[in-house]
Amino acid sequence: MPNDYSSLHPIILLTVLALFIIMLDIFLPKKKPAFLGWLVAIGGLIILLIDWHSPDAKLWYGLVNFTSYSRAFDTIFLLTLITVSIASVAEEGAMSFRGEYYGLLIFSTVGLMLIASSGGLLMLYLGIELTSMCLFTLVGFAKREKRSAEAALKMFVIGAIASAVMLYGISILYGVLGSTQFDRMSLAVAHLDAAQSMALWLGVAFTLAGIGFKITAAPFHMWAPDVYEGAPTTITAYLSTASKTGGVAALLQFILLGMHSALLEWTPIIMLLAVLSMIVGNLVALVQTNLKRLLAYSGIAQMGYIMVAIAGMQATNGSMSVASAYVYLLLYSFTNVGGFLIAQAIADVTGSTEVSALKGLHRRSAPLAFGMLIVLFSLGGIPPLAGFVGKLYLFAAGWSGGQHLLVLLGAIVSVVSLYYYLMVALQVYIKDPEEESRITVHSSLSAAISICVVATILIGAYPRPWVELGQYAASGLQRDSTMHIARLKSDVCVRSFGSVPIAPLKITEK
Amino acid sequence: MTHWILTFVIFTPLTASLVLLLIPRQLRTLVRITALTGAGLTLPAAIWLFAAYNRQVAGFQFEQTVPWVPSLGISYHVGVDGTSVVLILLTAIIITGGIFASWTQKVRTKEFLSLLLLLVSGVFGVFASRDLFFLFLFYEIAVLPMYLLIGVWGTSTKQRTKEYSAMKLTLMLLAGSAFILVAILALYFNQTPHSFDMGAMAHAHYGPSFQKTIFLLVYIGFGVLAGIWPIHTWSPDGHASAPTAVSMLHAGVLMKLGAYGILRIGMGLLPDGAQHFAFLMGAIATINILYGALSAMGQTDLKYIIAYSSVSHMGVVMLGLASFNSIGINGSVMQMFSHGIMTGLFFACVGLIYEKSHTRNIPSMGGFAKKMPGIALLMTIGGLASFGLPATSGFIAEFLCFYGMWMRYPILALISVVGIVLTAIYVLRMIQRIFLGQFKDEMYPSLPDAKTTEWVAITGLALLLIVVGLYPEPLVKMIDVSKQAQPFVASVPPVKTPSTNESAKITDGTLHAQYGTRYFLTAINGYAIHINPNGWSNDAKRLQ
Repeated sequence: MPNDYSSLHPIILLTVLALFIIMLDIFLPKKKPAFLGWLVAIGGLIILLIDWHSPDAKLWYGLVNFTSYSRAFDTIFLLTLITVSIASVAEEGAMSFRGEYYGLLIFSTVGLMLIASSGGLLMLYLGIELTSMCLFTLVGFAKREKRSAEAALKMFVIGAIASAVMLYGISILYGVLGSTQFDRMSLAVAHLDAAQSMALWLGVAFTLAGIGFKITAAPFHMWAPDVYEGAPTTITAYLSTASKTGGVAALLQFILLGMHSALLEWTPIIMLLAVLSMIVGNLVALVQTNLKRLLAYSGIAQMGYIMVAIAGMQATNGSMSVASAYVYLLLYSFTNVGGFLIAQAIADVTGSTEVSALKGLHRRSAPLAFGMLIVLFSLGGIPPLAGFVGKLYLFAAGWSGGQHLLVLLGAIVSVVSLYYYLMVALQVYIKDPEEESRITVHSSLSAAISICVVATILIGAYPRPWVELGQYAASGLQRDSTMHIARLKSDVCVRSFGSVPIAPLKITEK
Repeated sequence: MTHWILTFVIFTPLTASLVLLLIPRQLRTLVRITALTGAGLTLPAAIWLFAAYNRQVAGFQFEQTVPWVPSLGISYHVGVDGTSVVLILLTAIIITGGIFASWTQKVRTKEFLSLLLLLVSGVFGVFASRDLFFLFLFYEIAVLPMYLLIGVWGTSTKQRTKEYSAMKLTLMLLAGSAFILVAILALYFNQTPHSFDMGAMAHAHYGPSFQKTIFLLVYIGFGVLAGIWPIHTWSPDGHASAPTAVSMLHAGVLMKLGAYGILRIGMGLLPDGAQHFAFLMGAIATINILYGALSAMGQTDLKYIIAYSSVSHMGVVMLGLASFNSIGINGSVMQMFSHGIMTGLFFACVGLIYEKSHTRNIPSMGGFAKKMPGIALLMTIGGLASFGLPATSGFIAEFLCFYGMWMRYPILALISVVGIVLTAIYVLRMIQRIFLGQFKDEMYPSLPDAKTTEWVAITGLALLLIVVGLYPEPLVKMIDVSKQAQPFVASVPPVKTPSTNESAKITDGTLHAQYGTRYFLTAINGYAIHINPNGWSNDAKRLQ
């Protein structure tokens, strides 16, 4: 069904939900908990179900492309939206403009869903911008706090530059390839002569730099620790997971659909990003004393691991890389959100997000301590938790793509990373607390944390459905690349500008 | 045919570990009894395994396979051969003893026992797994609780804080597992269809240079846990800082995981690569034996002595493996069992001495035998087994290891055998300085002997040392690697050499001799044992 507009329902409904929440808030009494977050969560869940029942479609001459890939990634975005919204209920009392808070959060999710279902760089860019704009505002939402305002400004300035660079890259690519649609780009790349390859490389590099900002891959990571530290913790949780997931979703589409045959252009860049992210993230994390900053650097390193899998994309026809990246992002969004929310729960009581605030946590709140341990070990890739399965899968994908040295490096820096995870565990379980008062957690926040921790254990204990979900996601991109191959075989080199309609393709089965 | 026995053994401690979390911490006795049940149930199961294992058929038995992630070739596949059965039995004995030995543990008892049981589940899992994914998973489960066990319940020594020891141990072991992970991926991808199943990998024909590279990774990765020189440095600090039951388990069982990994994955799946590094393995094992013994001689902290003696004894295990013939490897597995029991006994005794005298510093001890004759006797038995006195299990095990090495590299066997003498020196000196001599009344106003539950632990272990020493046949027959189908020795019936001599039943690396003394005599006489000098590679070739 190439022209089934019912595929748009999830995105439309989500937009409606955002507007509804903003309107509803006007009529609700201020300074009282309104449980809007739960409303968002329920809405998100319903939309998730609708998303899973909406058909594949290619709309507006391939501007948006709903496949199993977009559906699978929407799942991550919506699940993160749900957990973060539930957790935000705990902050509602202290929040002014809570309607706008949820509204912006939902709009940014809409942007992410557009990224995952984009058929070309134009929609990709639009999605990224929509998400970023919402997040700039959300990061500065605690506007009375200096750090929050600083974080918002910092993210905005660097983000704007990154957008500009990316847009410049896209314009170069358009000039060289004659289209911003992935399928056309891929076709043109295959027929490019050597003289244009320098320009192509520039375009790819600039575009990757823009995406690199989004996913905080080193050396485009500088903003992340400061912003993560300054932003409200629930927003940090969202920023570090859903937003990055969107970036990786964009990256996978761009490389696999658009640039798959431009190996020489993107592979070295991705390898460089992988090496730098893994090394910088893990080494700098060693000296962090603030939990949010530590998780920020650990997140940079995690992106490096994903890059290892993506660097191996050439050999496996991409499917294993996409599947493993997907599984990792899925589990990462639970684990990392869990980590940040636990930091939030502790900060609510102690007023500090320093690692030393965790001292003797096992005495002050046994469930929080246990949750923290699970999160840390999962991030460290310790079985039988989710992080282990994910990392193994990523490295397996990298290995099958011939990136043996990257895998070895990844395995070694993982051990380095365990040092700082264990240092946090040391504070939580081994040190004695400075004060004995128990930490009580808001019920909504603890519900969100429980979801994250349980999911972390569950994905690790029984990885089969998640791995299959990853392969389902990969199949969405896979089908498109067979389409490319089919077209390449027919040797039609069309240099069409913009989105000129093309005849429905006849895919020849192998 | 599906057997649940191995799954039962693996998951009983795990279940108990989870149940413990639900019990309120005030009910200490209930906590202890639950833990004991979780650990103790594995003992009859392990004994049943030992009795029911069909030695004639050999090979992997009691197998169970559940597809786990079929699209990636991961399955929950457990099965045991003789080696695994022996090591599972060892683990069951040590954990049961360990729970008894930590009966009086008072600080955060619930969490302690829970982590201990979690760790043991991992150990059982490694010994039973036939799938590398699960093997690695269980391996990490066995290693990681160590961090908390030492960090929370350990004791800081003069040289090291417990946090330092815990971190060092964990990071070094996990660095090793990074190498293992890479090796596993390489093994996984270099065969079609991709599968983590070791049975499938045994039939994959890995190229020679691939085998060499990957064997090195496996050797280093598991070698860290096996305590091979020079990457053993976590072991003395870790053991010295760990609480009693943890030391028992760690030196007694966990270090064997390392040797087992080298045997099962390194030598089993990569026979040609392993063969290539035989001399290196033998040489490093020799260094281990001598270096460990010499270092032990220089220590004054009781736990450091035992820890270095473990390094030395693991050298013997590795020496047996490096011989690449059935005698040596059988000896090696015997030594794993024997050393496991022995070092468990040692650490239990040291724990008791420390608990009662509050010191581990040898110069301030002396004449303890008057006050604690029972502990003195049992620790002496452990000491005798340690340097391989006949009639203890140490004798047969060490003898086989050295003998196997003698057939392969006589020079290494000659050098390493000095280790026995050094061991005798430091063990006897240690026993003399603790238990004999002048008792310092003013320093130790009360020094009671062991109590009921503690007696159970240490007497049981000591008795086992002697029983196995006097009657090793069941164990030797059980291990008998030459009969095992796969992966580490060919699944062909032993070739009988035409000979009328009774001892010639020891053919082609197959052990049919009944008693340690008989090995000894045949070796002395130097005839009639026909061991193919290249037995390993021939076996490997026949496998194909």
